[in-house]
Amino acid sequence: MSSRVTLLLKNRKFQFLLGIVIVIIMLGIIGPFFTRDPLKIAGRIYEPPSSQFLLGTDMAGRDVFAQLCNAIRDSLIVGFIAGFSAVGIAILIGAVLAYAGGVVDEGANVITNVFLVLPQLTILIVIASLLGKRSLIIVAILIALFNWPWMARSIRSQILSLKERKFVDLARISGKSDFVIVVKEILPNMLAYIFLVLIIGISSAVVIESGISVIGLGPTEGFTLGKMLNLVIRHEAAQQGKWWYFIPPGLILVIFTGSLLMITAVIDNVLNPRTREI
Amino acid sequence: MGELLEIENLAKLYISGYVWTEKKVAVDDVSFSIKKSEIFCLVGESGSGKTTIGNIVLRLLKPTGGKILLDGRDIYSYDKKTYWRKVQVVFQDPYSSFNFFYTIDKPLDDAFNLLENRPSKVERKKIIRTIFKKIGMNPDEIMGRYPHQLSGGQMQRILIARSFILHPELLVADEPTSMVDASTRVAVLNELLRLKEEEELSVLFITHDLAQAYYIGDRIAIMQKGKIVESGLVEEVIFKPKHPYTKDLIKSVPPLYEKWKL
Amino acid sequence: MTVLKITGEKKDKDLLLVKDLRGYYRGIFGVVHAVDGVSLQVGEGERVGVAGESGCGKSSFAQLITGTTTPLLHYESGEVRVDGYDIWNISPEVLRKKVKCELISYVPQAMLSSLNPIKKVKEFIADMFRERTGCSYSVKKVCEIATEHFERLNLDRSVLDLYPYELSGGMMQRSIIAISTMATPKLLITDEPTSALDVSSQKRVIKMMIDIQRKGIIKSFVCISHDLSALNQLCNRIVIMYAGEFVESGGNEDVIKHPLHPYTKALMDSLLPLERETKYKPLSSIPGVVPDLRNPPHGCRFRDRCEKRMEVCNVEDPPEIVKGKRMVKCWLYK
Repeated sequence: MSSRVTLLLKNRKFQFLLGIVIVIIMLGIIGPFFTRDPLKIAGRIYEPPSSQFLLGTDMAGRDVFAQLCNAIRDSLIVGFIAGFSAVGIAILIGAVLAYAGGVVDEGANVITNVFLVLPQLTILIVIASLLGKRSLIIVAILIALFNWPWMARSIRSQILSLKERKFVDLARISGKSDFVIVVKEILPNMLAYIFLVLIIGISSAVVIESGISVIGLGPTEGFTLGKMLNLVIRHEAAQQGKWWYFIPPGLILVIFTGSLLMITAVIDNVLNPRTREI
Repeated sequence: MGELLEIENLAKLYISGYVWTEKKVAVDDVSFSIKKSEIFCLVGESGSGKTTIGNIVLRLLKPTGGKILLDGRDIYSYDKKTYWRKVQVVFQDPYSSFNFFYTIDKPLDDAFNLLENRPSKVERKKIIRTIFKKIGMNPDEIMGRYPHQLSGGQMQRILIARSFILHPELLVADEPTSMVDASTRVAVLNELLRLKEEEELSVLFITHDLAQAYYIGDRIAIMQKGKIVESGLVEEVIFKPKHPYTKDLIKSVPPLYEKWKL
Repeated sequence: MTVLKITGEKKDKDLLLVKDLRGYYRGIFGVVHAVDGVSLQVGEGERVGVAGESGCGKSSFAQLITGTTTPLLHYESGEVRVDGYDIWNISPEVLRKKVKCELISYVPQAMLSSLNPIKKVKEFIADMFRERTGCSYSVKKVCEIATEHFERLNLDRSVLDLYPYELSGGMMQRSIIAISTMATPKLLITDEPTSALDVSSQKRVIKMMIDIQRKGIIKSFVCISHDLSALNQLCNRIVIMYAGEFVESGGNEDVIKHPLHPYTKALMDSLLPLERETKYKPLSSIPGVVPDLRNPPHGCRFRDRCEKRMEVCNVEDPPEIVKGKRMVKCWLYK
């Protein structure tokens, strides 16, 4: 197994994409400590980028680069919380359903189908407008609530198919309980898959949060990339040509989620023995 | 009756669907018994129900009818761990029987789980080493390896070695050699024969291969569509078959030394 | 590897001529010498079997002689002539049009899951037939041709109207073989045609393949399998493959009852035919493992497992010694 991981780490594309993602994450984690307060007016209005202000200033004279770093941080917080909790719930429910079978499983399938058909964005908009105060965590959890059904379904299928393998039967005949079997026999075989699902979960959560934030229904606390874009649109920074302000947030969003999604393709390419390149 | 395993009127029915149900009969009123220190072969083609019977005897599947007695007691009257100390398995596909995430030591180590007094890690390693030497495999070359580094035949022999740890009374061998090369097949079969001689183990040998059944078996039962059509001593059933299906089956085996007139 | 001399009639009508063929797998794992210098002649009217255990390279061999190799397998060197066409040295167009459509039909292993599950068998046949022959008949017309072909081979015509999942394994395999010979190729190559089947289906498939050849629908076939009993029925010449090389070949009786090469002998000793003596024969398996083909050893590839090993076996690759139809690659017979 570790040989596969080394194989992955040696792959050029993977290194490149991972590098991009890590740089962005670092901007989000370390950036806020080293930059100015994003809310304080520090310079003149709409100053272009200079050595003093890496990305210039916004319509009130605040440091854009500082804003960007904070926005990345908060977007990532939502993304990671939403991604991890969705995957966590999905594994739990997927495993339970895979083992329950019968009516329970069928019923859960029906419910999942309903969830899948619901328009996520629309409902989030409705809920958001009903809730007065929306913290980052609440938004993250709301997003997770929509993501776990499809994840649970894929994980359930994976578990169902692994369950048929003889080493599971052998473990049963060695007296191991179902719970131990799921944790120790089945899940280790699904690590790559769970990792992929997690990546997709995180990147889609970041995008969805940006979606509701752009129209002003995102978290009321915190400052995310979506909220930054919201400001950009409201103050018509694009029409005024203030490129250092309206390009960065969208660009980071695209690069981040794009890289994550390309990483999933590279992982599949490298780990799938049939498509391995020379 | 002094038999090790007695199967009486065993039946397994699969029902699919909730409103419009479809029934599929996998095992239809099957009865047979296995003595101590005997290799009993269950022979049939795919879909004949032989694997289903194996899984039922292993308590992996619940029968829909009939009784199974081990040492005179209903198999469900034993608690799981005790039962699986007495009855063990070797499956057909060695590549599926190992969890590729762990080394080959794992299934052997797990087997100790069933014993009442589980020996310490050091003890367990020692026991495993002795067993490997006993079956003619070099422990230094094998222990700590991953399954993909070994051949199918080696993997099957390691799985059979579990029986040396647990000393079961009955081993259910479900097509243990069908995914193993011809040249190592005999080693696997000889291992089973040795278990029978040295450990007084009985084997329920499930296969579609009449020749292997003949080589290794004492008694044999031929299955077709869930029923046993003929059974008896292996020499009689194979060389003096009575049922037309048995006769057909025997005639369909391609001979190695002669040619069919086609 | 040296070929001493090829005696015996060299048919001008060699349908398949393979000379010193090499094919390697190249990947991150290294270079695997899967097929390392094999030669074979198949004339019209012959039925040849290539036997070997898993990993010996027989499936790779099948891929190389039909011009359809999976991505990591590369043709390295050697000649493969099908009815005179050197398939690795012609344009892809000619390869596709002439060789793959008219001359060869290749049925790889485990084809049972290759039929499109949502199309009826007859639609699949129509597609395939139009591709191969280049004509644009309607499904109905192709159906007529197919029906005639199926009936010639004693196959039930009703198969055409069924979906793949409605067919049993044996039925499907026979249908696939029938379908692959509809455009009357000269050479049929099958990889493990009987392996996934029940014994009763095996006999029917074997009978059908022999029929196809006897009735002249195809001229010859090459069958690859690990099942020597099946090959004994299907073919009249058997080639034994080990670790990427052909170690022995000859008529069925010769190879099976009077094997020359130590590997063949050991293999025959480990087989279990359905006979009275089997129960009382001292059967033994072959100790050791197949050599790692990423680093094929110098000298004879079987030497680490051979009872009759000599000094020279460690050093030099054994020669191929040919006498009429018999060939053996071993120092014992020099």
